[in-house]
Amino acid sequence: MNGAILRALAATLALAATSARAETPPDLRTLFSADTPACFANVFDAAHMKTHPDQTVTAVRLVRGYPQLRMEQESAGPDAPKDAPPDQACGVMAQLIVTFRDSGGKDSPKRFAAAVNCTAEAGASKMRCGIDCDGGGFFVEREVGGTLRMTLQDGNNLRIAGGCTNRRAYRGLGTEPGDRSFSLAATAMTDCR
Amino acid sequence: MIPYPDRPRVACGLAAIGLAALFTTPVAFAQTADKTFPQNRPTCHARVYDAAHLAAHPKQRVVAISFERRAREIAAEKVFIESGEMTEEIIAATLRVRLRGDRTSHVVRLECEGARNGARYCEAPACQGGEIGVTPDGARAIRLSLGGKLRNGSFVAHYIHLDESCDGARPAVLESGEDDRAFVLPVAPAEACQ
Repeated sequence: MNGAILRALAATLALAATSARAETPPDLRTLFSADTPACFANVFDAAHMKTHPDQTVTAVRLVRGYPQLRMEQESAGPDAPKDAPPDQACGVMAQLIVTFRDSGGKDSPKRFAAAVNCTAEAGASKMRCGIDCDGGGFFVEREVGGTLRMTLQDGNNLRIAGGCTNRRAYRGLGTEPGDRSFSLAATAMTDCR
Repeated sequence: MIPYPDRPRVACGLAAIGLAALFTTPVAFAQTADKTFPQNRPTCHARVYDAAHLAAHPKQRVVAISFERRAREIAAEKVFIESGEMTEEIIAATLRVRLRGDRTSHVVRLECEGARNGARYCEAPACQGGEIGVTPDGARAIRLSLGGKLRNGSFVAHYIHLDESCDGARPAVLESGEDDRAFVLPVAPAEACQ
């Protein structure tokens, strides 16, 4: 009898713990620390590309470096405390840099970049990163082993580069099935250059 | 250009003082910028570091650097303006860099947009990701900068690609390093930018 009660209690506690985890927003500080540059990248080699014909992306980088840190500080205002952790509600600024198999050549960028703002909403299990000017959005979450999984929102593609003002260099990401989800490893900032 | 999604952050973080600065700084920036990079007029800022300077700065890779707007760049600026799509003052420029121990004269096209702190930030459209800052340095010089200090005093490095190889095996990249963080370039005759 006591055993059954304990098992039921343990099951209840486990359920409650799981529920609490699900409702706790992901801590941005686990991905992006205050005033600290971060780089997550995956550069696909020729062998990978050969076995993934539905993938046009040869490199993906999600980086938070000097411009993003500087702009976060400018936006926070002069009275913001030094080394304050990223604001969960306001999110963090980052940059998505993508190289395509077929890009480059005359008057065509080889590598495309988009500014993104990543936020974690209450109850969400993932962070959402959005590209300004309705460039679309994607989710990021930690994977076992410490890598970061980037997944495009269902039914949406990304519009990268060019921002709001320059239509010449837009490029869509996500139209090919192999371009919708990427595992990115935390790596040195020099790998995001 | 890559305008950063800062609108949500205005609501998040700006205090009244910051908000005031947001609306007043662009005016000051535009007045300064017009003198440094007047519309429809070519400009050349250039610097060649002499042997004494390089000996005193053994970790500096840059031996010569120039920032130029000629007919090609002014034509590009007109396209920006006439497109009616620009929300900020944009300039085009050509950056030329020679590095220590490298015979190549690197040439990279830049597009630069204004920012709230009085600087312009230039990226290489062909190989996006990095940027170099441009600010007036007095009436007759500009300061090019790679990376910068945060409020806590720490320096964060940055870079800009000098060619279009991007992810190639040996891309040409100018990094801030220890002694390539800022360059002051005086106004120079056009031939100094060739």
